[in-house]
Amino acid sequence: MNEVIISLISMIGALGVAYIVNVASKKVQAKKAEKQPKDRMEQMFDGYERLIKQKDVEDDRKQRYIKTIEEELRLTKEHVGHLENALEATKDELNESRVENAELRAKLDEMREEYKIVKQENLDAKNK
Amino acid sequence: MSKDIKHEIREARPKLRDVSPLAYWDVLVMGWFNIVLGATFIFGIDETRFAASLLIVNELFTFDFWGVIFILIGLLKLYSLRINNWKLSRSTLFLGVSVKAAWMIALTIRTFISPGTLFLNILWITIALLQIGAYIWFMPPSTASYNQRKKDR
Repeated sequence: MNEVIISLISMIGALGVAYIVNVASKKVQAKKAEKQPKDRMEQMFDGYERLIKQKDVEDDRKQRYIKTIEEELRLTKEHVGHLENALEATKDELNESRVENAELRAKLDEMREEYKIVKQENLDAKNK
Repeated sequence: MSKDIKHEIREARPKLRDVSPLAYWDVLVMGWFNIVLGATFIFGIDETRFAASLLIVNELFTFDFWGVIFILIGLLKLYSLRINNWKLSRSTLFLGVSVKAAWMIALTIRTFISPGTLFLNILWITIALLQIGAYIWFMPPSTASYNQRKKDR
């Protein structure tokens, strides 16, 4: 009976050892493969990748610049709009003021004329 | 496959001895060791002198059985070196590791239950560890991956 138990333990243990050895071997091979120096093509690809990354950074910078300019443009347009409104309002005010001035001048002339007449009548009355 | 093509393929592969000398010598020495050990099991051991057997549980797993197994593994190892087939060398080394691990465990148990096998056990563990070490650290994975790495360099 002992023989059977020893054999079974040995066989199961051997399977375990074989598994561990196999896994360890694969890990060692994988590490060895990682340590291998890169070939020229891979180095070239890495160089291209670095260039693309640099371009990406440049593009991001341009994107930020575009956003700033757009914001400036929006503010400027808003400011131009305000100025146009102000210009229109000022022109209207000017026209109204001119019309008022003309009316006032006309009234003044009329009042002068009336005063002249009244003054003449008063002088005539005194002389009589 | 014709003999010429087989020969050409064999010549085209880098020699295991050049790529990993330690693995080559391990496979070679273990191959001969297995053959000698197997032959000893079959022809040189008197089973009646053993008070307790190792992995012999019935009429099938006798010393003769293990003798044949060891001789086969040994022959396969030598054959793999002859045809310079790394994959086969690797497989036979792994097979040897498995069998040696089984015997190693059996011998260790036996050391505790029947004194007198300690020296044999230490010797066997050393051989098994050498083979395990060669398999893990020195045996290249395959000719194809070796060639690919060489190309990459």
